[in-house]
Amino acid sequence: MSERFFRFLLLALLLARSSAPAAHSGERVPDPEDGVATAHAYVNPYFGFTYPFAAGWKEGIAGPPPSADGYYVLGAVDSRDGVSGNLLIVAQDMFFSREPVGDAMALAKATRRTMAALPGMQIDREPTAVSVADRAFGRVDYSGVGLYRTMLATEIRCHLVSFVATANAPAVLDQAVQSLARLSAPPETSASASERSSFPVCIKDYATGDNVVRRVEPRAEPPYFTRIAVRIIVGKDGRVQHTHVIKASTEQRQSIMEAVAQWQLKPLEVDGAAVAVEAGLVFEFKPAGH
Amino acid sequence: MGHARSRTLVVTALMVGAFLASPPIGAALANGPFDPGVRGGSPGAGGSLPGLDGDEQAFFAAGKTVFQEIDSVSGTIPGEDGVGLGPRFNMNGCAGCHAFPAVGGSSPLVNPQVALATLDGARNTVPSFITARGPVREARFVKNPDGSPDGGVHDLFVITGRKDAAGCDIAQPDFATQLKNNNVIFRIPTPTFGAGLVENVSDASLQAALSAQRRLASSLGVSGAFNHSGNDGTITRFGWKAQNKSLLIFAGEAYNVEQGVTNEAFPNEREDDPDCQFNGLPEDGTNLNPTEIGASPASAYSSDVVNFAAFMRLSAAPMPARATASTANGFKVFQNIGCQACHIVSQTTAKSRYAGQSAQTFQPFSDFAVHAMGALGDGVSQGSANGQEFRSAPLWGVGQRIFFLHDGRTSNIIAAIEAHSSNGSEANGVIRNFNALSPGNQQDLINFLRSL
Repeated sequence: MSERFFRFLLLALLLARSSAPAAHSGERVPDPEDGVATAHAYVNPYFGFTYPFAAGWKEGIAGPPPSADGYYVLGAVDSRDGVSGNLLIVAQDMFFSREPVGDAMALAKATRRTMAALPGMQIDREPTAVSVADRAFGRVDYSGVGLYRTMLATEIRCHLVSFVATANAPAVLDQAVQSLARLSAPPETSASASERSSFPVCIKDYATGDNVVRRVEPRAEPPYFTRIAVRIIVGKDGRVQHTHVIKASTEQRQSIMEAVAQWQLKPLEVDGAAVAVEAGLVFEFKPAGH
Repeated sequence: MGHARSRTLVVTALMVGAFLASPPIGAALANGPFDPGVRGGSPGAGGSLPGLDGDEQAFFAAGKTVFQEIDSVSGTIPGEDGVGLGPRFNMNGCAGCHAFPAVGGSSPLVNPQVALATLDGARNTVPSFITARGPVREARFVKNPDGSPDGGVHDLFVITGRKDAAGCDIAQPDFATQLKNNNVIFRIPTPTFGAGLVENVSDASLQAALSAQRRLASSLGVSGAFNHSGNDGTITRFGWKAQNKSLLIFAGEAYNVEQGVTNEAFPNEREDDPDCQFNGLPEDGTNLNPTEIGASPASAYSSDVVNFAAFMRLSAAPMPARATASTANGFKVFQNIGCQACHIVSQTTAKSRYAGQSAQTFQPFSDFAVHAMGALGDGVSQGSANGQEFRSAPLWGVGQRIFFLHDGRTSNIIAAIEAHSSNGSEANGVIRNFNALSPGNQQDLINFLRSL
């Protein structure tokens, strides 16, 4: 499959979504876990990237559902023999991380500190800022017990998206890392206003304080004392256009979506024009009287 | 000790000896590592915590004796002094299930549930999933007949026909139909060694230990979260889904659910057929006027459940075997490939009322959090742990465990490792790392695990 085909596929997905999520029209707004793998590539409409697999590599088994802290296993790719190498694609929602880091380079440095402390692990390449697909990535390489690993992380929509390659031979690792050069992703800086506006502006605590015109509390549903992270997209009219309850019971999810759909916020204005904004919410339900 | 019981113990010991002397139970994977099987030698567990004072040691010893008590309906059958068995039950004594490699452990090699089915005249049929050389098991139904979630324990046996249960005529559950409907899951006993250390770790300490692994975990597809008490929001940590708050709750629930003995924590019968109610409730309670005080007044006055909890709380952690070059490398591999992202090596206790137990760092090899496990999920939710999630099973003592995973489906530790990988599992990345290792590093890791 040619790179041109995947760029076309990604552009089609982005144009179909447009800059104002059409929740009212019934069109489904993608969430981070909505990426799909074809025979030759992984495509994620929420983050707007396409990753063509290395030659002969194939989709691996699926990872777990999203975690309560907004951690996603987006996809996994295995080497041709299914054993000697793999590439894991993960994302951490920066709004809800329990151990937040500032950006992709900070993540690379934090990863370096962690890996260097493991017995038998050595750092093969210190954290470095690199450019892939016109995006800034933080990279760090480490190895131990015969396994070679490279992590490349970038920031998209207030998520740290990481590509972690592992192999039992340097040549296999190189194959995985080199394949990332064909990654298609939204450029970070663009003179084109249309490309820049394809994603909502992400502001973690936008839906708080004076920005909230009307707030309806969801009814408490079990299990209690669990932290429920939610992302919302607020449209240009200040209404909640999309609600993503990341992990919750069926009853909790329904309660939160019914309540948040009734919220009204002040529209976000950028350069005098109203724009869509993506914000974070956290709920914790407790039993009555607690 | 009754003659029948001592004879049973001798037979069991001979069979275990023959088992341990036989070729390794694990089959070698083609061109790969092999499981050397249950580590031989003396049990690495079963004693009391080091450092306890005299009263605490006496409480432990007395609690252990109560833990080994055999229950009957009436308490009048020789050798079966405990009162309150049934009407429905899985075992007639704690030590029947928690038996190997020592009292307080997990499933023994010879499943006592087979003989229990017809003990004392009972007329039970042994369900198909209970076999003589298989694990001790409890059965849970995933859904109710109306499709709503069940998840509760459905006891294997009833007291119908027992010589101390005249007039009771209830039937066992229809396990065959439930099996046909794929509506049954199984759980095996969790070992209780060192449980008091676990109980004493503060929530903040558990959180800190989990946070310290986040960076490693997030590079591998691992996340995890704690289960919480619906009463006060604190972290729960006992049981396969970390659903139980304390050893007292754990003991009380098990006493009622597994043996049918109502107690001060769980005071009501689960079976309410009027012809099967033989004792005043709760059947186990505080002894207001014990006939014998012995070396531990605390034990003499306490209920069975308090004794059980004391035994577990004051039990020592399993001791690993002495390190070798292979197991030392295996420990390095364990940490390097990410096993410790869930099976965190160390935890530290808070301030303890028990002598010598404050601020103790111990090695349970668990974060006590629950993780999504894909195909290993059993469809049963408990607390905030959903049907796909399980607590990271503590690996201390795993070297002397016979059966692995929540349902005891395998005795091969390599098969247990590979079962961690499936669609939807957080462990996939770590298992990929394991599979990419050289055979030598894989074997060292297996040897390390069998040394625990």
